[in-house]
Amino acid sequence: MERKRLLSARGITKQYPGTLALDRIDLDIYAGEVLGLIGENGAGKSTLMKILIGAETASGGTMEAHGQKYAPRNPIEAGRMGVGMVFQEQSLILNLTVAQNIFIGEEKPFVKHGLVDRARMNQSARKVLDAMEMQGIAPGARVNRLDFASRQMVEIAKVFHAVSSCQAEGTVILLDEPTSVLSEAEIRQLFRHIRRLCEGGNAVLFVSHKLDEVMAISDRICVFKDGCKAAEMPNDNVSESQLYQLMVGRTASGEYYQVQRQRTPDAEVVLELKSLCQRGFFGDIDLALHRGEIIGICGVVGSGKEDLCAVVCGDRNPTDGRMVVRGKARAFRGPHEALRSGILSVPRERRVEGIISEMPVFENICLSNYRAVRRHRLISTRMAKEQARRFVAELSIKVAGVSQLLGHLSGGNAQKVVFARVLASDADILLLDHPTRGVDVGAKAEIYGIIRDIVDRGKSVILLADTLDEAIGLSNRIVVMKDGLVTRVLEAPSGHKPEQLDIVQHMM
Amino acid sequence: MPKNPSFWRRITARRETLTRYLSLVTTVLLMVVFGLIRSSFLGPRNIVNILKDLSPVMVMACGEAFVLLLGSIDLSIGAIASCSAVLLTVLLPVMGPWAYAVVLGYGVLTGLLNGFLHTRLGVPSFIATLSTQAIWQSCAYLISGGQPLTMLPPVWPYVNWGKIIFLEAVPLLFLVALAVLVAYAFINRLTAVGRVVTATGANERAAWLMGCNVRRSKMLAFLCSGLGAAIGGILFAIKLKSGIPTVGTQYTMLAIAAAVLGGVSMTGGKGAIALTLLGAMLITVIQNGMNVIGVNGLWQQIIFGSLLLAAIYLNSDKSHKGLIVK
Repeated sequence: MERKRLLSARGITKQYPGTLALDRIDLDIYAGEVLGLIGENGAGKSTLMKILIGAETASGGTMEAHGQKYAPRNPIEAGRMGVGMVFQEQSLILNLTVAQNIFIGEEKPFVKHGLVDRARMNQSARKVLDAMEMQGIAPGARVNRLDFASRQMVEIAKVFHAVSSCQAEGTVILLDEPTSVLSEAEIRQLFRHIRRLCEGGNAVLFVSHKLDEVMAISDRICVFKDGCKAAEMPNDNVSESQLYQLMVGRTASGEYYQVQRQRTPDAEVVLELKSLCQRGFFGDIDLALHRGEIIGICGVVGSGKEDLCAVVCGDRNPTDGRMVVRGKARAFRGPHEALRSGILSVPRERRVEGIISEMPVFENICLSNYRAVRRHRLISTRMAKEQARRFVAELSIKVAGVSQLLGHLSGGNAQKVVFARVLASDADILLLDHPTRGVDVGAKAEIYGIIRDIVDRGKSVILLADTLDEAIGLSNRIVVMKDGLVTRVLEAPSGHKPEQLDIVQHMM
Repeated sequence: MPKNPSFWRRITARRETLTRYLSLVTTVLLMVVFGLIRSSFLGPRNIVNILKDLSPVMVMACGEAFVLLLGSIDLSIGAIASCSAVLLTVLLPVMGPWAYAVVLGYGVLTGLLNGFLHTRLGVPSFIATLSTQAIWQSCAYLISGGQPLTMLPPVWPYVNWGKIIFLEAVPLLFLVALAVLVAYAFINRLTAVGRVVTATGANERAAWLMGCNVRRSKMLAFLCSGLGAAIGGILFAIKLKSGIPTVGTQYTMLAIAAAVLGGVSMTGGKGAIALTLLGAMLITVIQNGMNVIGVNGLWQQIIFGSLLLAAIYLNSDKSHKGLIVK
C-alpha cells in the first residue's frame, strides 16, 4: 500500500563559509511513522532540522509538504504547512500557566471586553491536553511548578496544537534531543505519547544522541555522517554496533577507554585534601592525588561531587579543612589563583562556562596562559595563531581556520578546543567535570585518547565522569560519594576493574 | 532601487565590512556636503578647529569604550572631566606643572573608586557611576564656587603648548589625544589584562573559570575610563583657557555614542578601541559643520539628534549574534 508522504526533501545542500554542512540530502517522511535521525555532532542533523523548520534556508535543493512546494522562511510559515518543532532547549515561559503557554500569541478568541477570559482559555487547554491524553497536567498550573517531563509534554502539546490547527491532516513534529533532561520513566511516557501521535496519521522526526532510544521508538532510522546520508533502513534487525559503525565509520571496540594505556601513578603526591569541608555541601574529605593518576569521583546529583570540584578549582571557598598542593598549603580566592598553583578545570556547561563563543579559536586557546604567546611582554597574534595551529593538528580539531569563531564549531570540536586551552595552560592538576558531555561517540574516543596523553605527560586528573562506565574505564581509583561524604574508595587497576554494581551500592 | 531584493541581500552580505567603516564613509560624506555648502569648512583653520574639538571627546570615548567592552557603563566621565578642568585651573597658579600630575592622579583615583564600588561591593556599574557622577559634579561646583574660572596670564606658559600646530593643520592637542587612543588600543589588544576585558564582556563566567583575573581587568577598565575622563578635562581646560564646572557634562552621552559608532557593543565583548576615533570624528564633524554652515542654534540639537540616530541605526549590529544562547 502506498503510504501518504507528508514531507519530502530533495537534494538539500547547505554551504557555510568554509564547511559544507549538508551535501545533497534526500529525505521522505510518511504519515504514521517515527523517523529516527542519528549522527555525530556536526554530522548535519541540526542543520537539516533548522532548514525543515525554516530557521535557516538551504543553499540548494527543494522540499515538498502535502504535495505542495514547501520553502518556509520562518517557523511560523512552517507551522502553516503542518510542520512544527520542539527545540532542544525548552522554550516555555516559566512564570506563565500551561494554558497561557499553549495559546501564547493566539489569545484573541478568548478576549472578552478587552480582557482575556482565563477560565475559557483553561477549558480549551484542557481539551488540547486531553486529546494528547495528558490528563495529569492542569492547564492552570504555572510551568515552573511542573517537573521537566511535564514541561516537555506541554511543549509538545503546544507545538502540536499550533501545527494541527493550521493543517488538519497529518502534521510533522520535529523533536530535537527531547530526552536529555528526562528520567527513564518519563522517557517511556514520552514514547507512549509519540506513538499515539503517529497513530493519528501524524509523523515524528526524532533526533537523539542515544542509540538505544532511537532504536526503541523509530520505525525507520536515518544515519548522517559528515553532511551526507550514510544509510537509511527500516528498524528491524539492526544492532547498536552496526549503527555505531555507520555513524563513525569504524567499529566500537572493547578498548574504548584505552585501558591498556592506563599507567601506574608515581609515588609523589601533588594534591592533598585534608578534612576539606563546605558546610551544607560536603564534609570531611581526605584525598591524595598522585602524579600521573586519574581519580574518578562517582555519586548521584547532590552527593557533593560537583561542589567539591568547585572548591578545588577555586570557584568557591571551603568553610573548613586544608588543601595542600605539592607540599604547600593553599587557599584560593578564585580560579586564577588556583591556576597559579597549576589547578585548572574543564567545566561541565561548555557553552556558558568553558568557551568564549565570540572569540576566535586561537584566542580561546591562549586565554588560560597568555605567557606562552608573549614576546617582549606583549601578546603576539602570530605566536597565538601558531600555537593554535599546533593544537589543531595535534588534537585533530576540525576548523575552517584558527581565526574561525568558536561559536561556529560543533560540540565535540569546541570541547577539543577547551582541551587545547587546558594543555596550553601548563596546569598539571586537571579537574575534568563531565569532559564528554554533549560530545558524539567519535569525538569521545578521541577525548579519551587526549586524557591518556595528558596523564602520560605526568599530569594528574580528577574526573567527574558522564557515566559510571566512563569513570570505571578511565580511572586508577574511584571515590564514591554520598550525601557529601566519601563512602568508599575502590582501586581500579587495568585488568581488575570494579563492576558498576560495586560502585552503585555505595552511591545509593 | 531599495525595493530590489538582491540589492538588500548584497548589502547585508557585506554587513560586517560595511558597518566597520560606515562611520568613516558617513563622516567623509558629511564633510563633502558641508564643504560644498561652505568651502571654508574644509579650510586649514576649520580643520584645526575640528581636530581641537575632537580631542577631548575622543579621549573620553576610548576610556568609555573600555568599560563598554566589559558590558558595563561609566556615567561619571562627564563629571570627572568637569572636575578635572576646574581642578587644573585652580592648581596651576599654586603648583605649576605639577598640577597636571595631580589631575591625572585624580583621574586614576576616580576610576579606581568606580572599579572598587563595582567589583568589590557589587554595585551595578550603572548605579555606582551615576552616584559618583553626582558627587564629582558637586565637587566641581564647590571648587569653582559655582562659576567659570579663567586662567590668568601668569599660568599661560604652562598651557600655551595647546596652541602648537604642526603643518598648519594638526594641533598638538590632537596628537596627545591620538597618543592616548593608541596606548589604550595597545593595552586592549596586546596585554593579557586588556584581552581579558574583552573576554569578560563576552562571557564573564567562562573567563573566571578559565583562570583569568576578571577583577583586575575590571579595575583596569574603570581606571582607564577615569584617567581618560581626566585627560579629557585637561584638554577642555587648555583649549578654553578656563575651568568651567559643567564643561564635560554633555560629553558623557556623546562619548558613549562615539564608542558605539566605532563599533563597540554595549553588551560587551565586541569592538575595537581604535575605531572609537571614527565615531568621535563623526560626532564632531556634525557639530562643527552645523556651526560653520550656520544652522539656527535652536534647531541644532534636533538635527544633531536625528543625524546621530541615523548613524547609530546604520552602524549598530542588529543580528543579535553576540547573545549567549542559554
